[in-house]
Amino acid sequence: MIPTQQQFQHRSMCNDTVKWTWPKTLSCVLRLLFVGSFLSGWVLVVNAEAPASTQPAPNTGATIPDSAYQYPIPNPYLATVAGTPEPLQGARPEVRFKKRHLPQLEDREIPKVLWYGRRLQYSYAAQRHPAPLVYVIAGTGAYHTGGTNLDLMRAFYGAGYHVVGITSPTHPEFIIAASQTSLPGNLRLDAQDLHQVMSKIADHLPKRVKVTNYHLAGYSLGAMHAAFVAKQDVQDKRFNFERVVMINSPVTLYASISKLDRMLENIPGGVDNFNQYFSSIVGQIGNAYGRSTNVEFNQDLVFEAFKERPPTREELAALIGSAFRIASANMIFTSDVMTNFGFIKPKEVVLKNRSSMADYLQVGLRVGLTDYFHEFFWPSFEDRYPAMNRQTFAKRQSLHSIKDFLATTPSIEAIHNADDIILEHGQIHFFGEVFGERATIYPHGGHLGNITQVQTLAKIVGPPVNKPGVAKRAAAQNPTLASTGVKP
Amino acid sequence: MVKPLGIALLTLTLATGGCATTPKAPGATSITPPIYGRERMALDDVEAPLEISDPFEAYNRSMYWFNAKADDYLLNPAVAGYQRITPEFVRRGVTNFFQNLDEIPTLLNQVLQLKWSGVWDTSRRLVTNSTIGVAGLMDVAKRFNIPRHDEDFGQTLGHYGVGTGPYLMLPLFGPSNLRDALGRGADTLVLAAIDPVELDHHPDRRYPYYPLLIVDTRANTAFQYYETGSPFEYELVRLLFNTMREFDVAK
Repeated sequence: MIPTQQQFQHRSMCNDTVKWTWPKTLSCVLRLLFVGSFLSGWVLVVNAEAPASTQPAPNTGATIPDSAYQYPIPNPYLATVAGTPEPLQGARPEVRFKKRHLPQLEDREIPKVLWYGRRLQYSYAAQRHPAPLVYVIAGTGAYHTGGTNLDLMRAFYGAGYHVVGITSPTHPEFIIAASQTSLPGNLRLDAQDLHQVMSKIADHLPKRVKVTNYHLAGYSLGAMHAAFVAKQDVQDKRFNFERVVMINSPVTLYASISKLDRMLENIPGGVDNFNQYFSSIVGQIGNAYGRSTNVEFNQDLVFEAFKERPPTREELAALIGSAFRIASANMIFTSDVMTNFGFIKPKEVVLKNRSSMADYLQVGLRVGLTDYFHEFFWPSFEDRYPAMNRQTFAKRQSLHSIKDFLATTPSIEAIHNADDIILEHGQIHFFGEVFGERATIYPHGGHLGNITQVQTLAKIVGPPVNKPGVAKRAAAQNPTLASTGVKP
Repeated sequence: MVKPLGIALLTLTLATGGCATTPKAPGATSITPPIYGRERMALDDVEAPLEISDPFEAYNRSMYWFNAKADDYLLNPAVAGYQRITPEFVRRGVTNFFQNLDEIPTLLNQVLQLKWSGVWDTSRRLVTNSTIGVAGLMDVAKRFNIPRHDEDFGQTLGHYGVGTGPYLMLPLFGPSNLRDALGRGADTLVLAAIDPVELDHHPDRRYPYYPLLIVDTRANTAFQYYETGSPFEYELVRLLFNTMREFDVAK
């Protein structure tokens, strides 16, 4: 349950030349402010000022040395927030993805107030010829069309794959429409839900989409989900994945969520001062907007806003924590309404479209994911797993619990950064130890900051898929090209 | 274009008659406090984060839902059809055309606010685009790097210290407040009085004009109701709308 880069990269979405209307502004600001992306403005300004507490890279053959990797931001918090500078980004062709809904599950009771999430949406783009199909699973709280997911989907499509984008099981729509328990975070059940969703999508795709074999990719929590889906598939024998790519995966979920919960403690004066803190940030952006000659509210403005007063490391952490807290409030409240557990909403209250949610939002912003775990998640599963206790249940939500599977399955690869902020000290070594040569550890990038970096992206998508026929023609003309898998 | 405002006021009076008590499940006599309630969080002692006064919340929320449905059944299909039958350069031309007309209220409001450098920019844009830009179909002024501004009567009122009044969700137009809704009405009336497209002399021009205006506006609006999936989307939109309008007025 990790904040996703999707929440931080929205340049392209807010810069297009559309007419200036309030909703345009709003959707931009929604993305810029609320999902945290405005943080990225800071980077140009502060550029690598604070020293990074880079964890020592594990000494395995999979580690990429600093000298062989081009990424300019050594501070992992800044990297997380800023992403990759334009000139270093890999190719992601513009693709128009088709959006489709799976039919609503039969017998599923959906509270009126959550009507909008009754059907699960997904997106796909198909090649004109037979090709492998890759499923891309979004990270914490992210939709299938979220920024990072789209980046990956576009890159894979460009490399010749059919591509299907899948919403994270932690997104409200998945909780409402597709989760058997509506309680995300139980990785084995999440994987069952995901596997079912993916099978249904495979059945729903138009007949003209010829699939040669299946691939799977995921980032952040989506990477962890990908691993468990791959394991589920060994049982179900549906996809027989050719290749599974895990990008910036957490190792133990509980360690990562408590790290993220604690980031909010960086708000100056504590969480009670959130309002003051929020208005000071908003005020800074507002001032820059007032001075600028631009009517568009875009990221450049945010760069401008923080030139005068660059953010400290604490402020960066607080912002990542805040952006993340909004995603977790969405998730927890949706689960609460779906299960009627009485966590934030009293059991007897039946919400309507016109009911005020103000109190629930305020409580939701105060409740952390560790609170969710201890007082909602575990109590809901306690009876189902009599052999487990709180600790063993928490431990099961980790890659350690499927270590042997990961170590012995050659199709699974891990891509990670030595300074990822969601990992605890030393956790990065897990990947080198378990995946060996199938792990690639970059020296910098924080959490997903370098996902669109050209080397990283090339590693993620792998060699381009040859079009049928092209390989033959190429072989006739130039035998060396065809044998290395490079398109002529 | 004034009609929606009338409908808004009508629905407003009808809808605010409803009660605002906590809805209870049938048969429930008492309410069990949730695990995390306001009391446990001691929220009564701190300033509520991100809260905006919203006396017409019940009406506004119903209208938020109505707008989403109107999008689903009416506006989004219309936009999809429009995009299917017209090539990109035609749509760009339509967008530029309406954007050029929109310079007129912007100009007037800049005059009212005595923002002379803005007046200079906007007049140059208006003249350049209306002439070289073939009646506004091409945004030539952009190529000359003449900055575009956006002012409306709501901002003018705000500029002179008029408060926003209560937050209002307008049918089809979406988030607004009393001041800006009136401002929008005033801008529309003034533009209708100036009548640059001469709709009064050529009533048949209305048939392409209004549908295109509506479809073009929706097509250029990235926002989709309930798209975030957040159960708190209404609150987030309300906060952001207010913040943005404060920025706009201050600009």
